Amino acid sequence: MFKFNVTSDACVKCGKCIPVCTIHKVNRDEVTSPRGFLDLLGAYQRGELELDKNAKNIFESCFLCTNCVDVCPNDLPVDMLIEQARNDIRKKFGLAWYKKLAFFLLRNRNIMDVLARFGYMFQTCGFKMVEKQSSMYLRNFPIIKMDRLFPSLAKKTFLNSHPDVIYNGGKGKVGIFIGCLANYMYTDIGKSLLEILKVLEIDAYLIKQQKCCGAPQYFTGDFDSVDYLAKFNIEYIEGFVNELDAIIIPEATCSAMIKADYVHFFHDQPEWQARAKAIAPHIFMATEYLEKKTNLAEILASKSRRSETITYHDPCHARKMQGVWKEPRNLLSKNYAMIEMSDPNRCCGFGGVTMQTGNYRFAKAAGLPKAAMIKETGAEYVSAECSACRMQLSDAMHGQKVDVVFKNPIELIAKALREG
Amino acid sequence: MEIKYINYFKNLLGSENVYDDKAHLIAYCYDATRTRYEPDAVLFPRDESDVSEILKYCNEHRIIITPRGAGSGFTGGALPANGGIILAFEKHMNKILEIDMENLVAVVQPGVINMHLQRTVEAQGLFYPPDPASEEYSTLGGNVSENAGGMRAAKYGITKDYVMALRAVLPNGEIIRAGKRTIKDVAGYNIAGIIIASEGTLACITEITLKLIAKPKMSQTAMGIFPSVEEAMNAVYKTMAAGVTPVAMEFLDNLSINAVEQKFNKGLPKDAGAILITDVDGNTQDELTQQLDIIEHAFLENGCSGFKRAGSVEESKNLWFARRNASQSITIYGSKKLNEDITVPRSKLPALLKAIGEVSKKYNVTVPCFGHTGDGNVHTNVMVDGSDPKQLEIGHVAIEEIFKATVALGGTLSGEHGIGLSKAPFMHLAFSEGEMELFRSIKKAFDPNNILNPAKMGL
Ligand SMILES: Cc1cc2nc3c(=O)[nH]c(=O)nc-3n(C[C@H](O)[C@H](O)[C@H](O)COP(=O)(O)OP(=O)(O)OC[C@H]3O[C@@H](n4cnc5c(N)ncnc54)[C@H](O)[C@@H]3O)c2cc1C
Ligand code: SF4
Ligand code: SF4
Repeated sequence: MFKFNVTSDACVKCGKCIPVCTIHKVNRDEVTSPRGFLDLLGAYQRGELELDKNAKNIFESCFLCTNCVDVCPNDLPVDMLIEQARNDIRKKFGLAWYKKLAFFLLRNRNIMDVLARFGYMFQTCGFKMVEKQSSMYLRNFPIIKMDRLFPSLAKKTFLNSHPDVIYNGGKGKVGIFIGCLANYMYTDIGKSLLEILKVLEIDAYLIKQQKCCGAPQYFTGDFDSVDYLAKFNIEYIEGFVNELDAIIIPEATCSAMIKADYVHFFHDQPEWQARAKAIAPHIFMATEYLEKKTNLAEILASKSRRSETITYHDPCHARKMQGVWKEPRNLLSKNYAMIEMSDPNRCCGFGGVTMQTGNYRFAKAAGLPKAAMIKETGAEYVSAECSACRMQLSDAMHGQKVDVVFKNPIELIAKALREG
Repeated sequence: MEIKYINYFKNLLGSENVYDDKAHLIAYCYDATRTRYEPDAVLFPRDESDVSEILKYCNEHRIIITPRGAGSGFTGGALPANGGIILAFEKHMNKILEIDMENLVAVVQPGVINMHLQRTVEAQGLFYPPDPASEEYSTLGGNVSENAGGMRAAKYGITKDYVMALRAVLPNGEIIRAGKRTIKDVAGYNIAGIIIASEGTLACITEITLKLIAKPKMSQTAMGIFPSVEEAMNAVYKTMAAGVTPVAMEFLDNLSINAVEQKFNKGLPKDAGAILITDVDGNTQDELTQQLDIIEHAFLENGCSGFKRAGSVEESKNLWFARRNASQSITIYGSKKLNEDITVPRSKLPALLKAIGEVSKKYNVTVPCFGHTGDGNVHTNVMVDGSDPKQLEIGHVAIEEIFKATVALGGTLSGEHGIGLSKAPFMHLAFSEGEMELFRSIKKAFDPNNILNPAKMGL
């Protein structure tokens, strides 16, 4: 456990982190700024601030975008402290019933699989489908406001639609960690990734026993679940990691969680931290691996240029946490015209489960400028290798009537290969 | 704070703009000095008329008010030393109201971040030069109130050189206009001039009209390495006398160079006595080259052992790296830095640095220095172990002695950061009792009940 006051005391109060802070941009108040969070956490540790409803709301307003960590001259881990504070909050207030339910399901994939199937059949009663986006918006649902866009469940999950191993010619062997959103909802991502690997003649190993990476639970402070899921996944991955060239993940958040946050999370369990560190070098974001370690760029260059235009959004968990931002652009630009939006590195405002429910007004406010800058480009597609960004951006664009379609870069690349 | 006051403010501003919960009192109890004083309430005015109503009410009920921008101040100006209300401009009053391309003027609310204005006007080919190192986060209201300066001061001046007019609210609630959107204005007292640098003790600024200039099309960076500070300073004088005014001309002393090197390993010359980093600007490459030729000549004539011109934006950033990271690097010499931004006439810089060296020896404290040679503004940092009260005490004695030396050389206590709380005890070193009395009378004329940011500036 971190001692909040140690980090709080190390903050020199320079204020550098404040103008880049996603929540401060939409609520310009020192209590919702990185400098404020740290100071309040110090006060909490010293017993000067009670963890009451008000403090809970404050600590739940952080988007965990890590913009602050990026600019802080002392590299203070604001996001990790907030995560820990949320653990205290959870212990004191418990989890809301719907989060409890969701996290229970994510721990237990086989139940989730069955429910997903039911969900698919029932969702049409409450939700209206929007064809193009593979999303839907709500007619009526208790915890969430009306007229928001949600991803729709797939008929059959990605992992349950394919065999364990798909042999493509043996030029390489990669494991696919698909992530929950792409497994249950945006199943085209996995399908597209398989198409790409087929062209590259690289064998695909679907890591079928994978459990949720634990990111939603981490951001909400449900540390018991994180502990369970992280240990499960590490142990599971250790079992085959040396037989594969790499494990690739077409999702920024899952990838950052497994590659970086497991190491952070186990900072006081050295044995597990060492094990997390050992698997980290084998984990790649999908575009990162495909661009650096395969000849995909070359193959794409041999395909025809297309007329569609793309603008690329940088997920916080890709660019800031893993330094991945050139790779997807490099691949996409082989066939598509790229138009940069004015601030691709600005957080989309997804912020996690709590932000999307209890603090939705903040998420909505943070999404507005993003939707506007996407619209301004006039591009036909907006792309980001992250399904959380996809949920948030699709919702923000829906709210603002911005008619741009979101696609994961993997989907767009597969399309370019497929259509020649 | 009495509940009836809180209720009044809630009625006036709406409850979402009035806070007296513990979290707000804690979050608004500090600024960049890290000193702590809790307020009794935090208010977020939405516009000038809110500010006026709040001040009027507080004046009638003798409630103390401290205006606050971004809380990046280095002397505690925004700290509620006597409790009362924090009037925070950051939340609502942060809009750029107008950019007048014909008169080259910008009109802004006080909560606009300096860099936001710079970027907005640069997109239109214009230029707002004052660039305090806190430009990314400090507000223009705070900049005006502290008369902030930056790296470009040598050529382009400081905040006061760009303030054309202000709107402000007096402690009795009255709204005043000071200054005009004209280049010439000689009617009446220069009230804007008095409000600038008044650290929120006279009036609350609600609107600022700033002068803009055309943006020079290009700039170029160069760096020179010197065996001693004296030689570096001679090079500076020669440069200026030769008719070149660089945009910036910054120095690092040996201790600062070594701190950056130890922390970042950038290949800086560890045994150099000083390095100078300079920027020139203009509209053609010829113009830049011409200026840099003169500078190079002046440098080499004065013992410069290595001169480097940046060939790209990347290289320029690299040359500036040492200066930009000096402040955080010197913490290797002690956990607490007592930093001051004393200023002397340019010609007295070597004498000042010598005096600082003597103080450092006498009290056995490390005092790395860096700063703006162009305008004689030196960041002196007395480094001590913050957890040792004895060292802190010695540090403060050393500071007082440095102040004395500064004043003796015809200098001033603060070139940029203001007086606030931190430097209030030293005002008597720089001003006579008669002068202090004049300050007090001015304060009284604006604020007879002493409700606006009292206890600041040693008044
Ligand atoms: C890392 C760092 C680097 C810095 N570098 C520089 C530098 O290079 N040059 C420099 O000059 N300063 C520098 N500073 C100091 C500081 O940033 C400046 O003094 C800045 O102008 C303060 O602006 P602020 O918005 O943070 O104001 P605050 O700190 O919030 O307030 C400063 C003072 O202004 C008053 N005030 C604020 N708004 C109003 C208003 N609307 N009406 C009336 N009074 C008001 C407050 O009461 C207070 O007295 C630096 C600070 C930091 C932390
Ligand atoms: S993680 Fe993002 S939202 Fe949270 S404090 Fe840091 S910058 Fe702000
Ligand atoms: S940038 Fe870092 S040191 Fe500066 S105020 Fe923010 S958290 Fe504190």
